[in-house]
Amino acid sequence: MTTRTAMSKVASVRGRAPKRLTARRLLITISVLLTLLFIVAAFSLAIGSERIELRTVADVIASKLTGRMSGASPEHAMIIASIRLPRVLMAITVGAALAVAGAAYQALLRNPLADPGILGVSSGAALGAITATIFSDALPVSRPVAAFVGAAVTIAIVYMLGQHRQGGGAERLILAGVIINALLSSIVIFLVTTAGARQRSVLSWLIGDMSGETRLLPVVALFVLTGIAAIYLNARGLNLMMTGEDDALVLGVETQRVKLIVYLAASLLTGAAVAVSGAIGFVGLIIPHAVRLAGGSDNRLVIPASAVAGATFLMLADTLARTVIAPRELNIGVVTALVGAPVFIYLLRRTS
Amino acid sequence: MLEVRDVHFSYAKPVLKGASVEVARGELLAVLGPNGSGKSTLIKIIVGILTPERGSVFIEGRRLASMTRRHSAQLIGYVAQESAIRFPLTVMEFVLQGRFAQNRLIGFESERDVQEAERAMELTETIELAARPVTELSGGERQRVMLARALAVRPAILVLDEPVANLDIAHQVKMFEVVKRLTVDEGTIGIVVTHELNLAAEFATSVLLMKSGEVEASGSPREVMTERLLRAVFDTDLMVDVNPASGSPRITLIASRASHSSGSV
Amino acid sequence: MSEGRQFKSHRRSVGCHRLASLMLALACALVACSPNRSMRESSRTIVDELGRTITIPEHAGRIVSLAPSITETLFALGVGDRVAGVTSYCDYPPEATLKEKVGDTLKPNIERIVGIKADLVIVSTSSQLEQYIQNLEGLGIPVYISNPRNLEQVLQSITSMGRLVGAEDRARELVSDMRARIDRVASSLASAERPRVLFLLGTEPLITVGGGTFMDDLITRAGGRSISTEAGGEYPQYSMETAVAKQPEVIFVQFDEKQLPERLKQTPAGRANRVYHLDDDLVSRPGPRIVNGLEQMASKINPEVSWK
Repeated sequence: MTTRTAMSKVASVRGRAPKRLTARRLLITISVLLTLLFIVAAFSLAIGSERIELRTVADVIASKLTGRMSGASPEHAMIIASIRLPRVLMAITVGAALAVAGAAYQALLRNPLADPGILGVSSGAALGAITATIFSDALPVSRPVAAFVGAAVTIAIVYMLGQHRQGGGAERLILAGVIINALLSSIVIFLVTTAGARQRSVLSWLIGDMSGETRLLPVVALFVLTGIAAIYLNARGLNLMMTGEDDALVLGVETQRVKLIVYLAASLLTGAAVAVSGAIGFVGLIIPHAVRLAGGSDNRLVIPASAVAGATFLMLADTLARTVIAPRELNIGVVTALVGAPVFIYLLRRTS
Repeated sequence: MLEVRDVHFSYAKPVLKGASVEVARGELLAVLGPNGSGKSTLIKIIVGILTPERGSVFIEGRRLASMTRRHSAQLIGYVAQESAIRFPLTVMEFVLQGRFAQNRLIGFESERDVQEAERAMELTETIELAARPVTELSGGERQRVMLARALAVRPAILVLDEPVANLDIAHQVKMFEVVKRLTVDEGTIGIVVTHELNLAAEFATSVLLMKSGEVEASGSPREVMTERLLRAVFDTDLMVDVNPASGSPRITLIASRASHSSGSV
Repeated sequence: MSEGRQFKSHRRSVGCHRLASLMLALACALVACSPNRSMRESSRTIVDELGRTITIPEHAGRIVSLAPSITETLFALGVGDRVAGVTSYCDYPPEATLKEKVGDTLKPNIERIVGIKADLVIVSTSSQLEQYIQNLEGLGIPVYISNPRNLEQVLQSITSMGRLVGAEDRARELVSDMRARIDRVASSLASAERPRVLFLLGTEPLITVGGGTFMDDLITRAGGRSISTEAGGEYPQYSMETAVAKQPEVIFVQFDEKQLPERLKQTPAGRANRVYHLDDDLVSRPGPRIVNGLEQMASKINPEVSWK
């Protein structure tokens, strides 16, 4: 049972299309999604390119939690604790970040088809990462840090370009983002194709890589949680802004402040995600959409549900990516599209 | 009491060159004028979307610019000219948005909020649409739902920018009736921008006639809606007499003789 | 017509004929000076390493090499003076850097190649230049495609190229030298262990070499066993789990050893500090110096064997 069909079941249990979001419906939906998350997490830890018994997996996890020694062989323990577990945690963090960023952008830009990369943040991060590999001899900066710096600079530039005299229109921001995105993407492509072997290895990372170093993961996770919280605090304001900025203003929303906070938070979420795992597509576009189809457009549901659903989805996709043609791995960006597209088409047809 | 004192505004060039008006409680003000006369800009300044370059808006003696957003949102209900919404919110969720300023940042709407929303929907005859997504509504239904959202605010001042453009004649009359009743029963200030001259004449207690960013005339419908003034402002031929049923001015447009005979425009 | 006029017209027609023959002679001269002259000079046909039959000049004097390995081979065969153009990556031998640059391996500059009046272009399939080959041949410049897929084929390729440029003797010498060194490596390893080897082209994600590739052959001949041999594809993205589980004893990387992922430092190779960054040019160029690469790799895989 996938995340999306579970949510449709929740909706249909009430017998009719829900008129509005209540605290109870929110709680039920999130609980169901969280349960699914844990199931998929357990599943992801249990399988991989190396066959390890379920008992051993449980043993290693338990020993990690309680601190006592595990009976597993050092290789198995290492695989589960140092390879699979960090990867699962990374998928959860990145999946949640991308899905919430997508949901936030879609509400902010009043466009259900906005994707976290639309405002150029992913390209900025990619450019940062590539620049770091070119100058790695002169100035050794870790890839995630360089990528994040690239993202941050892009965020600032796009925001400044997108400002309008009378506040800021969503259209102008989109335009600024699309232009900067195109510019940065072409620079990235130029660097990758004209440069040597070192840059070629970045190419595989660019389209998504979940196997990276996870030393920074705790910091990134904290970052992601903060970003999601900042957006969630403005969920109500976003609901109103989705119908029009002027309307929201008169209804009492501090639109300039909400815009700035949500833009910054969503862009930083995207930057952080791309910095650790490359530009994984599809998650930010499709997960919020699917959540809306199944549960309605109220952001007080869409934001947290997207976070959990995005985490689950990316975990699932990553598990598939690293087991289907083991010991080879499929690229995660390819898998998210191949897995996501049919599921989404199914959902679309069911609810229309 | 709403007072607009000598407001000016420019985009690239001046759009409002000093407009003033006073509206007392229980009044329904119709704002009339050709396109480009500055009506919408004036409205946006009244509701706080635009800040005037010169002049101010006062509500019950307090300057609008000095009020918190939350406070002014509880006083003003606004229906914009058009609204393109791409997300399938239900009508109930949409109308409930009117209760935003009454609530805290985090949390869910209360029973009271739902009651206010339902009341607003009943007034606008949209209650059967409550569970429908707003993206599936017709233009007219959407306009009534937008009015419901503004009414859910329980505003002291209700501002509508061309609210009947997409409605059939029955609903056009009903819309004005709803607003009128609010002004009469609850003392709400109603401000309506419209092109429907006859409906304005019927329902308004005062009229603001604008042209090229300035107020040409203001006063009761009988004072303002004269042949001379209307012809000059709208630059078209028309005739004004008295509606025998209500005693309000009745405006009849006169098509030119040439277009009559040829039957084409 | 009067007689006088007949005479005049006759003279005129003679004059016209003279003009015509002059123009014909001029045309012949122009054709003789065209680039197709090489086709009319002595030429021969030869079959390249992809089985294509091409027509080349008997003694090509303006050869263009579009891969560093080909440049090295040509110079090693002693025909460096007949090389007119190389790529910007061709850095060995040092004399090669003095040659005219005609682009890089991925994007040759066709105009340049024509401009320096190339009469033969040698290309490597690993550079994926199929589309340019059509352009060049359309302009009358023959293209020879080299395609060594393993060490044995490198030797064959050198022999083939010797035939191509008329340096068969030198080619024979070179190949025999190389074979001797390859045999020496093989015999020194006869009784040695075959450690498990992991060859990484990239990290984050792990990119390694699949079975049946050039590198795989090299590892085997150098006395190792590539753990990614069963993985399909040439440069597969590889699972970190399996890389760790297979416990490689030697790891070769094509990047800075310091960038080796933490997880791989727990393998036997990592713990024994047997992680090496070999000279990329020696192990990835299928030319004469490949045996240097082979020897380097072998000495790292089995350092206790005496390499005499």
